[in-house]
Amino acid sequence: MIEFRLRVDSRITRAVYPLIIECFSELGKQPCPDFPLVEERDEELIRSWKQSMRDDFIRDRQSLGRLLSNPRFAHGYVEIENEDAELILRALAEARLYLRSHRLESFTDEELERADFSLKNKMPNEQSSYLAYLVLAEIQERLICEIS
Amino acid sequence: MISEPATRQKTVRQPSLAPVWRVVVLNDPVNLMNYVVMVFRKVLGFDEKKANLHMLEVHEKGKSTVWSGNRERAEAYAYELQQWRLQTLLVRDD
Repeated sequence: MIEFRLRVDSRITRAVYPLIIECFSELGKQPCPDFPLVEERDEELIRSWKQSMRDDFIRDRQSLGRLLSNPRFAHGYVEIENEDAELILRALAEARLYLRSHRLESFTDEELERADFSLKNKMPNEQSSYLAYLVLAEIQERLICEIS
Repeated sequence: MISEPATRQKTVRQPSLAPVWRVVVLNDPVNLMNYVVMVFRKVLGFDEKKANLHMLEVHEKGKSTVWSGNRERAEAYAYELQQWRLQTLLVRDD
């Protein structure tokens, strides 16, 4: 079992928890990535690739779902079965990519990368989305340390 | 009458012309640098230094060829990298 407490203030975790849950529920509606060769014409290959990828993504999201449904998570405690760690890392990457493209469109890449902006100047929903984005990154960082 | 044996045609073995496939990882502004390094190490078996070099190439130049060779293995690597949510392309070099 991997256990740690987030370094983020637990008030922030509690505040963004509903947004994280909302984003998580929307992940299932997102398409899987395309076959990596644009000019591929073998429909059967493309179909089986996407089906296999879809199954893997579902498994990753289910693992993240187990973390998020733990009542202690909203208070900043992360408890993960060892065999779920990599799957959760992948699902967290997907959740952050989703937040970036659907909730943080007004941010430039440079702003996000360097945190080079004033949060106060952002709209309240953007502030929440950004904080959720950071909380998910914090979980990733800690998990990477744990499994490395 | 005994005829002359037919002259054997000399056959020259052609070198293999199988195309080389490259696995290319594209930059994204979201995934953490240490996440990308970890994925390169895990999926491609890179050591820390090589994984860092490729991560920086992705970050600074927008893409990096992380493997090249036959199609079957290239597909397998591309699949795993996509599974880790890295934007990946297969490129055929003729």
